[in-house]
Amino acid sequence: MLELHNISLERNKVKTLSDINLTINEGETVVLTGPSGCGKSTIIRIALGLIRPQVGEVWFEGVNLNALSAEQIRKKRKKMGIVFQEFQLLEHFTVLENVLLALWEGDRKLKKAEEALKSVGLWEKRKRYPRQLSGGEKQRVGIARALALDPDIIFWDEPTAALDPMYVNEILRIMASLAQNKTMFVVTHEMPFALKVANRLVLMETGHIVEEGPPEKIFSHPSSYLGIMYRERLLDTKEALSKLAGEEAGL
Amino acid sequence: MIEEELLAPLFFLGFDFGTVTYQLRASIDSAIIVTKGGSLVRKGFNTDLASVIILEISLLIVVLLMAGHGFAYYVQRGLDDLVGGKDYQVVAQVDKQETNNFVAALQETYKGREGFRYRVGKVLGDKIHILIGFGDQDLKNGALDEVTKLISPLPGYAGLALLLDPAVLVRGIPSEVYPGLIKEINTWPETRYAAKGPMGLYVVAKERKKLGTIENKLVKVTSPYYLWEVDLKAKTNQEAALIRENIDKILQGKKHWYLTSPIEGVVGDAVRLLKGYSSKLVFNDQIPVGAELVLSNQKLKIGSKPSTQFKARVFTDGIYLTKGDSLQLTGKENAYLLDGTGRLTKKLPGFELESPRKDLEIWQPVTDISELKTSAQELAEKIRQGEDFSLLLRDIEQLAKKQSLKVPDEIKSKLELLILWDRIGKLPTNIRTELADKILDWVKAMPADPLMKLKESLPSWSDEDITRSWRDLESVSQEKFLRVVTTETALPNIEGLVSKPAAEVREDIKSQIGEVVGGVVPLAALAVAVILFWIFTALDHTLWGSYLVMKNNFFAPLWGWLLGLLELSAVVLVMPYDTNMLVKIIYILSGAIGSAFIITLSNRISPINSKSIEAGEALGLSKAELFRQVIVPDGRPGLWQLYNRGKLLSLRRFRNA
Repeated sequence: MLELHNISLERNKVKTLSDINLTINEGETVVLTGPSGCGKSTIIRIALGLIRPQVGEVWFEGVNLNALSAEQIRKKRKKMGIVFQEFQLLEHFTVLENVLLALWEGDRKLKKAEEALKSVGLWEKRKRYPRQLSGGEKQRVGIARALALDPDIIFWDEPTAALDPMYVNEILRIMASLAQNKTMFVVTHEMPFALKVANRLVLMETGHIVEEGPPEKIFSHPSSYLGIMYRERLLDTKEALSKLAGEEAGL
Repeated sequence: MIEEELLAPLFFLGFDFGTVTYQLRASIDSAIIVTKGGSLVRKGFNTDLASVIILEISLLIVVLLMAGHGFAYYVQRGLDDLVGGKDYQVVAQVDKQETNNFVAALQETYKGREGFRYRVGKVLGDKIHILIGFGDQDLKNGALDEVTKLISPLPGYAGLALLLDPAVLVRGIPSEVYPGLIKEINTWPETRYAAKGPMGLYVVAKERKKLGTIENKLVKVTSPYYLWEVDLKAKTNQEAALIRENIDKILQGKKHWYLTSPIEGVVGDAVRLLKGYSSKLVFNDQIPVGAELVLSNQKLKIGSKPSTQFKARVFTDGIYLTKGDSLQLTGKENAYLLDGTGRLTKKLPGFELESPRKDLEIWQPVTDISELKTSAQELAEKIRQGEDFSLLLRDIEQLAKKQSLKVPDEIKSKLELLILWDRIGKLPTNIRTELADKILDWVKAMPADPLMKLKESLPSWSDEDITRSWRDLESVSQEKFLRVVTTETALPNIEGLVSKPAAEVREDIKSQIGEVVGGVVPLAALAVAVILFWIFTALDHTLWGSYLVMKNNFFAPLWGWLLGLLELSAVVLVMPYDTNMLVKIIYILSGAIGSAFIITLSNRISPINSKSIEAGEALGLSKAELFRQVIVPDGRPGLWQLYNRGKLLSLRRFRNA
């Protein structure tokens, strides 16, 4: 469905991405992770056609986005959904209007917005403004906005990074549920989520993909230093959970 | 995408370079973009932008008109009371207490004259300004020429001035040729009317901007008239007379007009001057210098404020009549001393008249012309030192009257105009110097006359008296120049004779004042329009500027500059005020440069939320919708936001809403 071929990008004479090759098949959930500033979000923006790479091609549903005009890319984007780390809701619109914005230049069916909002449990709060919502609710509006277009692929750009811990699971549950039916490309540091939901895990460091494969394989037999670090982190989490489980059993 | 953003400002102007780029690059399925491009205003963002610009231009024009009219009204209102508006051609100064009598007499005088109007204007000192206007036909028929004659006898009259706007004044051409000139000038399409006035030939234009054309035409139409001038300062009267004789011979049978006084006129002036000596009163008592006296045939009550036929004043060299005709003074009148408020304080003993008419045996011409010279020099000095003109005018009239002379119209009218001007604005210093010099010239150019003619006029005088008086007269009467206007082109061989165009063509003083007002109004209105445009730029276009800057498009200042050129040029093009092209260009350029500067600061004035824009772009919004739904509603309130309200996302436009 989405293929990135030999993508390289340089900004302000700094190499941001180098020779990125990545394929996301239909129905797949691919998780991309890596240290901050390694270029994860930039890959999403390139995939969306918001940034043109200096080298390489982006193919979406069999079309080379680089060969399209801005207007044609814009139309292609209607088949892509994105959920941002900082929600990116428009403060002058209500919850419902924020979702309707996705449909404004399309078929303008209110029903779609209603379904999207109901799917994230926010239909009752459709008349509120973003400033009247909690962080978790804002992100759910962001998800509803992405869903309203019924996209072929959903990009998630660290959707839980700006949330209080109490809202993180709520969002991860929605994401896991959507992964059943949607093609998803998720940038996240939530390794348990990756292990549980992702078909593939991609590890990135300083603009390069350093390791790629099924998460179980990477976590059990990492081939990169970054893979080892993430494995350690996951094991720490597992150890902590075991300790917690033991203490609960003791009680 | 980069090309589109970079060249976006040029889309609006019809240069769709972005489309060309795409055309080269895109595959056949992108042809839809090509068909959309190329039009002057593409539907969507450019339509919005064009609408906002048209809205701004409309508002700028409205504000310019309001500012212009408001400014013109407030400036003109103050001036109109002094110099009359467009509807009035004459301003008469009238004694305040005589206002009602003057107005009644004025109405009676001009009863039934079509287009006649008047307005009571400002009071200045003890005088009131009555503004008088005439119908166009009446003006063409010589209303201005006869106005002095008709108005000066009216009660309370203290002087008048013609105030025509916009008008050109022609001087130096003999009034005998006026009828022909007027007939021709009235056929010019630029002329409202041409008329003879006290200072020359007035040509009033239909529009101010036609004044230049009229001036050029007047120079051409008066070009057959030459002024021959001979400097007589170093010549005796006999030599001057010889030169005049020669010129007479050369111009015999040809059209010519002497600008110097004719012989008969000089004699008349000389007689009047000599009779003026009779106004000297001699009292036995010592009366302080500066004191004022009244003379009456009747007995007056001490302490009263009488209005008498005769008044006199004590000067350093004697007591002279300052009001009333000295020829009617008998010497048997009762004399009273006045206090500063005009009340009688004391009855004086009898006085004697020093008069050649009454007793030639005892008369001595002691009041020679040196007094006049001294007084004139003092007066000129006062003018130079900046004393009130209205008082000076009275001084000079009094001085002339004392010598039984009349202040030349040229000086009087100029003084009256300058009094007005001095109250309106600051008078240039050289005007005072020029005026002072003119007064001195006038004194030096006082009447001259052959001795014999004088003797004929005064048969009772002895030869000795005549000779002695003549010497006095001659010392002041020698003319500085001999001037004659002629159509003769061949210059005769007379030493010192120079020839130059006779006509002096220049804009009338009120017209000049009108030009100042007419010139200031568009400048002020344009300044308001430029400032308002900068406000529009800061409110509306910095949204666009911030967007361009966000997209790393450094053409934003160019966009601001072009916008300034476009909007201000449109405003200047349709504005009804007349101002010169250079000023217009300066305003347009400075407005555009200011706009470019403001747009350069876009990100500080209207910071843009790049994350919101990214969200909009990610949702696949077009640039038009990105502006309508994200950038404009998120920015500062302005015209664009107002216009955008109808384009905002609305629930009503969704199915099943």
